[in-house]
Amino acid sequence: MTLDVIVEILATVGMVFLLLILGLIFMGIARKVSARIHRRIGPPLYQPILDVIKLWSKIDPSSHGLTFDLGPLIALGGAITAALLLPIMGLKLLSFSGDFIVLMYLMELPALGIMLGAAASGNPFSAVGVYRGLILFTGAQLPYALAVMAVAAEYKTLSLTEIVALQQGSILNWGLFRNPFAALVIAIIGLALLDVQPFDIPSAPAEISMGPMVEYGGKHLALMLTAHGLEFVVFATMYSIVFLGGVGDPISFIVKTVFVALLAIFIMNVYPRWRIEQAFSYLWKYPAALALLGLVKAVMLGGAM
Amino acid sequence: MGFQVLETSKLLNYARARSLWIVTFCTGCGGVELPPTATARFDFERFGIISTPSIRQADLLLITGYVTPKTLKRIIIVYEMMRNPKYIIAHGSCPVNAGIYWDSYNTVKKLDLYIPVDVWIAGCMPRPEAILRALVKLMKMVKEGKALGWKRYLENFEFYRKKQDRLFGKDWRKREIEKLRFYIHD
Amino acid sequence: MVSELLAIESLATIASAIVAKKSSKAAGIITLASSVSILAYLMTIGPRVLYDVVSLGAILPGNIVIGLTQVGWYFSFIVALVMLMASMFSLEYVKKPNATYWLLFNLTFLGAIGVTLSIDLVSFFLFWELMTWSSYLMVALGDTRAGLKYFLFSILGSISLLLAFALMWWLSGSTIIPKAFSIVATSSTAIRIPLIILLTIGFGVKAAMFPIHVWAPDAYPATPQPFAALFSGGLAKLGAYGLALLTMFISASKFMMFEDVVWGYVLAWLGAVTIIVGAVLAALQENVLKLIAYSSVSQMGYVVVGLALMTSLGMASALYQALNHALFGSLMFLIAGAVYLATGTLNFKDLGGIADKMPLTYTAALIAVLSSAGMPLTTGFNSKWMLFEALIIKNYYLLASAVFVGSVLGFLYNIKFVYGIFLGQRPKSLENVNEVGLLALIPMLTLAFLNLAFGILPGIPLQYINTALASLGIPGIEASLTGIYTNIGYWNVLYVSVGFVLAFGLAMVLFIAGGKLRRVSVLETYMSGFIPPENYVLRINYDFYQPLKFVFGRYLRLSVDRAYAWTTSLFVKVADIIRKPIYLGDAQAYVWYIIATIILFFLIFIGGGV
Repeated sequence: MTLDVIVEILATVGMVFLLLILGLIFMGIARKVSARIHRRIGPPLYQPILDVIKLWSKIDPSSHGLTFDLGPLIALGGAITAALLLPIMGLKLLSFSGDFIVLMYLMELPALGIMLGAAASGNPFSAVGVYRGLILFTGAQLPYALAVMAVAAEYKTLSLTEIVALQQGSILNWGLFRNPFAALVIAIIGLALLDVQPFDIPSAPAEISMGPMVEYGGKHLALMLTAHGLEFVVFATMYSIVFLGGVGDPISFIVKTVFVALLAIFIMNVYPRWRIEQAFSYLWKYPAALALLGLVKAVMLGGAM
Repeated sequence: MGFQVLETSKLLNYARARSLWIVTFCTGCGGVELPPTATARFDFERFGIISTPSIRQADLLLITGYVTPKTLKRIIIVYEMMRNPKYIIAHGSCPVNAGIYWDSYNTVKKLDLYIPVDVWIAGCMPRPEAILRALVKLMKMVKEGKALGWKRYLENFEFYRKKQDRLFGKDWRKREIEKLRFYIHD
Repeated sequence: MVSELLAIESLATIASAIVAKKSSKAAGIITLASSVSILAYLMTIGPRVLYDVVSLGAILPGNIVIGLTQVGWYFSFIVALVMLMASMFSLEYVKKPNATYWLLFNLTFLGAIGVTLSIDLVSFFLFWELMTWSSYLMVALGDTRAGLKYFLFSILGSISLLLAFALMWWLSGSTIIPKAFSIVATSSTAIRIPLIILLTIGFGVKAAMFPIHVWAPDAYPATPQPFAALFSGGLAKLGAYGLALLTMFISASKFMMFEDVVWGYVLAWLGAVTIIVGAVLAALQENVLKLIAYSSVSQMGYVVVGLALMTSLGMASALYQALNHALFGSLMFLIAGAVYLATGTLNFKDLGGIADKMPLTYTAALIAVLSSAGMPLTTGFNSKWMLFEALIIKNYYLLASAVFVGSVLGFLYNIKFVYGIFLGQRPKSLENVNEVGLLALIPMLTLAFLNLAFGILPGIPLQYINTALASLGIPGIEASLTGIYTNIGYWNVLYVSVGFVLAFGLAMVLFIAGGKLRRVSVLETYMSGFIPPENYVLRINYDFYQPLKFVFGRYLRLSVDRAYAWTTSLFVKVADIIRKPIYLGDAQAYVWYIIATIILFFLIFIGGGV
């Protein structure tokens, strides 16, 4: 336990809190940019922080049992653990403990926690949201798997630090230019994984009144919103690490993740919502075909130098 | 944390004031004034107010329009399912004294007997400017910790229950459930 | 020494069958004692080579060889562990005196453990047949048609095995398993291809591989649940044992020819299809046991894929997945048994919301489901992770994507399992449900604990797997007590679990510091402003994945089961056409047949013999 390790642990703890706040600020950016697209003023950037504080301060939140309470806890715990695996800004504390596949599975843990908690609430709207969410999640995995295989074939390694190292040199080394198909496909899949239009059928607000989250209020919802924001940041960071050359210093971290977030926000505001069978058919046809093209390109036209 | 801290802390009251969530429950014709207030021209989202379909997550209930006993039952059920602290704005002249239906046999004339109201807006319909002014007033009251309708409800629960039962008849919840038997095939 | 084990088990079989006529409890205690002793012996002696030549001079000419090898030790450990849990559960499940159940239970175990402890082909085949016949009888007692299907497919497998064993004996001149199997690698192509196909069919029937899996979804629900735990947790592994022997000897011989690679690829794709088909069909079932049966078929697919890769990482992942499937698959069957004991029904239509009444069973179910879905920190994830790494190292990208999709499809039926039985609104008929007795809880909680323990400490099973691989000269995989390392990736469980515990702790601190919770009943829920009556159905208990049925509609109409049924009816029709002109059912025609035969014999007799 040398001084370096202690400093790194403290830095990691600080990083976790920074990411939590950043997640909420990303949600605030989403609301502000959407408002500007609608030609309104919109809430201030720190609005979701106020939302979370207000929700947490509810005096007597209702609960449907132990599993209902465990859902948001697993969601937040899983999101934080996934965030710990990413090499951000030179911090590599846990990133030598798990590679890309571990990260993919850990990113599923928040969704699983929310589904379990929603199933435990006993509300039929939640149950509808749960099965739609699971089916959409399944639909997103075929293109996701093919694109991740394309990335693995391209770099010939699954370790995140090595993927970053292979992209240094010039801007043309970035994954975005080496395998644009996989980049495009994972951008589309990110919309499905984050519950964002056109894939926000699981929590269709006007149709099944917030889907899985209908019985959640108070501090449960505060934890879930924090987890949702953190998932947003984790996905944006993962995308920057794999395709945009890594996030070694604070400036590139902010610029690249905000760029990815803005991409998602612009698409979110233009598209309406797909039904579940339309979303599933779309995901298993066109992004899957694109990802297959990316895989073919990575295998045939050579991978890492 | 203690009840007192959750109630009176300045940071928490500021957060509650700047992040009111409205239940998307438009009880009557007054609801038509809400979309203009929410959209680009008058935009209440810059105060942090959004409308949410789930009542467990919301803390502001707008009674927008005339209230019949049938609607009042639903309003009471929804109000009791919301989590404290919660606020009510009576929007329009109809909740105040039944407005233009002042001589109808089927509207509720004095809403304050059944649920506690924090802010009243007069007008038929109130324009979005009036609604924004009422919302700003409510936000100020919440920031100072003076919007205590929910506390009145909790403390005078017997009083409110008595008045509700006097209007609907005792055991009205059971009779409401019985009305649904028709739709249940067992 | 090892043959004493089989003698103990045979004695236990006979004793428990006799005693079970009077008291089921005594029979259960005898069974439990014998399985405890076998497991204890295996654990103390550890994996090593021990031969024991037993002479069967009176019955058959020659000797059979019983003994331990490292690989055999691994699989016999799995079977013995599952048997221990299942027999403890059976003490609670089978309360009335039932000689048939205890006899068949013990006979199946005897056959299974005999398969893993035999070192020569004859005893292997004898014990294989014993195991198949006793499990067939158990299935046929539950559902005759399912039994018939199982029987036909098992006969197909057994005939293939017998032919293959005869060929191996003819080629190598000896029946000792290491010599016989290693001849497969060095034989010429003309002999090798049919030999490999026969062995694949023979072992694949037991392991419920894709085209020959159709007996499993009908056979597993037809047996009592503790027996089904042994059936899917123990017997299916023996098919994997045979396939493991085959692939390990081929890969160890370093003589891999082109046909081996092609066969490996085809087998891997069959395994991937098993995973996907099993998972999709499991999500659409309305009966708990059928769901678990299909999920069992799906999980064995991972073992087949891993073995077919024939690299050390792939085979290690397959062996690990065999252990994992025994841990969470039999746990799921035991949970279904506990639910049946408590509620008396196993249809999703009538179940729901018993998590409050049966909290320990629910905890075990949650852990089983998390492990089956492959969540990190449970043991199911470790084997899946190793399989993905193995597939990527070997550049089989399309296969890896298919396996990944199958693994995610696993979420669907796992959540349905937990939601349909334990969560949501409880129907009126289940108001008086109680937790099951201690004898049923101990095996479930032990298996759940092992899931978590092997998830956090993967080094423990991997050490034995490395021993098994090394005994055949295959390089092992690099693993420490809490971490696995491959060429292209790493997985260090200790740090990630510490991180998860700390993250969960942070979330809990934030949670507890908030307002005080108010427990509300399931009826006080948002239903657009009205109060639901008490028997208003608030859970979705039928057709949970209806959009999935819609999307896969066209493909769900294809069915291997119906293809077999069509083939059978084709045979029946052809046989009918042949029968009709001959078996006329008319006495006069038969008299003419007799006269014609007599005349024929007379002519032959005159002609001086043939």
